Amino acid sequence: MLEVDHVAKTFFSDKGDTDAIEDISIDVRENEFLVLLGPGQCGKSTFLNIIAGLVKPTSGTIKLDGRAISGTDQRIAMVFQKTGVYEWKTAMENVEIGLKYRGVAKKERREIAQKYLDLVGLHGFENAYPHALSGGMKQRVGIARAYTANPEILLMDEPFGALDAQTRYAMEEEILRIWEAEKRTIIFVTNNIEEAVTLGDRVIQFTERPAKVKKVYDLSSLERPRSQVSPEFLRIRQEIAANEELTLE
Amino acid sequence: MEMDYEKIRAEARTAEIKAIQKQKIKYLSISVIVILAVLLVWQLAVQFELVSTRFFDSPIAVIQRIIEKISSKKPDGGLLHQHIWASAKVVWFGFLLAAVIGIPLGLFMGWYHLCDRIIRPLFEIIRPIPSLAWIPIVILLLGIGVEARSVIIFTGCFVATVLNTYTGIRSTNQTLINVAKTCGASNFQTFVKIGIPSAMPMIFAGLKTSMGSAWGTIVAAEMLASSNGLGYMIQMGRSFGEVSLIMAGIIVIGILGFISSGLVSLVESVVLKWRPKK
Amino acid sequence: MKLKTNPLLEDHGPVYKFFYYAGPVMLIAAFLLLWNSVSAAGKVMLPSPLEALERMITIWSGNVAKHPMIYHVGISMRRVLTALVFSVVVGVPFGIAMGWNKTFRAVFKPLFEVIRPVPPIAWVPLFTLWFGTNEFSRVAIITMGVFMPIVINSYSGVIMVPEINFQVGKVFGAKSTDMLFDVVLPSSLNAIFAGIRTALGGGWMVLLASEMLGAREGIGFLIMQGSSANDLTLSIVGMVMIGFFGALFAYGFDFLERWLCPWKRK
Repeated sequence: MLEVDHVAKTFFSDKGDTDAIEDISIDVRENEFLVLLGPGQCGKSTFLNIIAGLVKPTSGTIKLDGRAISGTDQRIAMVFQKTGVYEWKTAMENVEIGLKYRGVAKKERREIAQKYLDLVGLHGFENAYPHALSGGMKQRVGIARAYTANPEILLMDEPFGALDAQTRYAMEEEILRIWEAEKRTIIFVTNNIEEAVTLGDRVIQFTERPAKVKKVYDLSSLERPRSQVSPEFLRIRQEIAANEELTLE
Repeated sequence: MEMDYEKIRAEARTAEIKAIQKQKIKYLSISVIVILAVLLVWQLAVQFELVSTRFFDSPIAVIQRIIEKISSKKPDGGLLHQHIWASAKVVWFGFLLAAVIGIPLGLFMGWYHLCDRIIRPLFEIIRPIPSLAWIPIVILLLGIGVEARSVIIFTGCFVATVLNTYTGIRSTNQTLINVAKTCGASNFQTFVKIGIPSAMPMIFAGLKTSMGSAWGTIVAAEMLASSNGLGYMIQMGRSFGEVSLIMAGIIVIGILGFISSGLVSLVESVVLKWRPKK
Repeated sequence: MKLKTNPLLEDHGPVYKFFYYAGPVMLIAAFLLLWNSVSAAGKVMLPSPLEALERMITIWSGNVAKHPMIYHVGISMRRVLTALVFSVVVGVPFGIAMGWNKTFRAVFKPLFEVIRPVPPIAWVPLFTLWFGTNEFSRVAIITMGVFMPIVINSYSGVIMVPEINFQVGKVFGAKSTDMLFDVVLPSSLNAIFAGIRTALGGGWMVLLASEMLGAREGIGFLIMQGSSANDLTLSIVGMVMIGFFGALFAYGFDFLERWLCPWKRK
């Protein structure tokens, strides 16, 4: 469904060039939960930004349903690590912006937004301002916002990275529940191996910067719901960890 | 595949960097053209008498006036550098006095609750009174000499300095204070070694603000109660109907204000050399 | 009756507590005593605190310089408000345009940077030469002092909008107008209000200067009038008035800001 073909990205500046991505080609299947795993600063966020249309690749193409895309596309929505929730809008007003900017009528977009606010478990918080919401709740607003825009693909850039460990475990369960209820294609970026193995149908492991695909793991054999301590889970986790070669700078 | 990418990357690099340069040049040239156009229109408007010279004088005439004023005492009885010195003297005197008294006061008020508690009410009463409002009382008590004008500048700078110093030391990172306490430092040692350095950035921000307002105040004070100084010079230009003198004075004041702020910034960059360049 | 103990006083002895409560009062009393002794010494015509207080009360009945006190206060406030409203209505969109559009910025920012270091009061002789000593030139001078911080702060507000706000807008399909009104404007409200607050503080000063230099009514005029008529009590009353109304305005403004921005945390 989404074909990424030989995408590379270098950031040019007077003070020197930074190679973020060397050469990545990926095929994303419909409705799969794809996890991109890599160490910090390896370029995976840049890669996601390229798919989202926020950054232009230095070379390579991206095709959605056979047609090349450039720039932002209403079929692709994103959940940001810093949530990016607008402080001056209520939860409801934040969630509906995808539809609002596309000109959908108020009544209709409110209904849809309400549906997804309920889905992420924020029923009753429609009129709350972000300063009154916890980190996890703000991120759920971000997820509802992405779903409300009715995309084919949901990009998630380390969405649980800023949360404490326990909230993070809870949110991992939440995102799986939401995904099962409303199946979409999700491309999820993380640096946490357990998170990757818990969530992904497939895990693509990136090298350090400049990013290349190191290995692709097919986790379809692991049945859901996944236990984080089953022998199979631990074996795969071990295998991935062994393949991580991190040089401490 | 490797070879291809090298070439693509090199091409993309030159293209991107060229595009950025083009943008920078475009906007810079717009700015330059606008400024030159304004000066040109101004000059021509006066030259071809589209505006009366009673109200306007050309840029060239103004610059000539500045140069002339360096050696001529007309019409107000003073040379340019005498006026500059008279104004600058008062500004720096009042400013430094405010710094010398205000910074320690702000530091003590911010660190020691008792100090804050005792001084605060009186300070809050004095605070909203603009410095120029003190002129009648100051004239009564001190006449219209350099001391009087310095005191007026002082009142303005003092409030801003104390407030910024107070805010600066109050926002000292609690973690740093805790570190000092666990190392056995006394309250006073923590105050000197941690509180004061933490407050430095805000102190300098306050000094820059008060320097800016000092120049504004001195101009007004000189117009009201002085016989020399740049404010007085501009006022004389008005009285004698010499527009070029007024404009010359405005430009000189602007430049001096700019230089003074720059000096404070310079001191700041030396004192605060641990700060990352923004 | 349950007495709430002040946590700040817990670790301190009785001497500390004494100064904690008596200290501020003692300081103010000392100040008043100093004032009184200078005026009683009679070497200069300084009115005593009591005389000042008395005048402050009586001045509200009857006329000062041909108008009731309330008229003077009203005129001063009107001048500041006119300059402020004009500056907000023109300056905020101007500053936002400067931040939003690079061409606009390239055209106007250099002009601003040239005018900015000039203290607003320096324009008095020029404006009085051009427009005469009338209400228009007075308000124009105050506007020079109020306009600058408002434009500059609005501009800063726009260029300091965090990148992520733009990224979110782009991904979800915001067009330029959406971006400007829905994202940039609310993000920069903080800075805009800070600019108005700064302008207000400076504006009173410029008001005072322009009134002191050539007006026949207003608080600034009264302060100078007191000086030239050897009626220092009037000057002191003027000082107190302007301090009071300045603080009042600042309070009112904070209130306005909180009312317009319900999303700010307490």
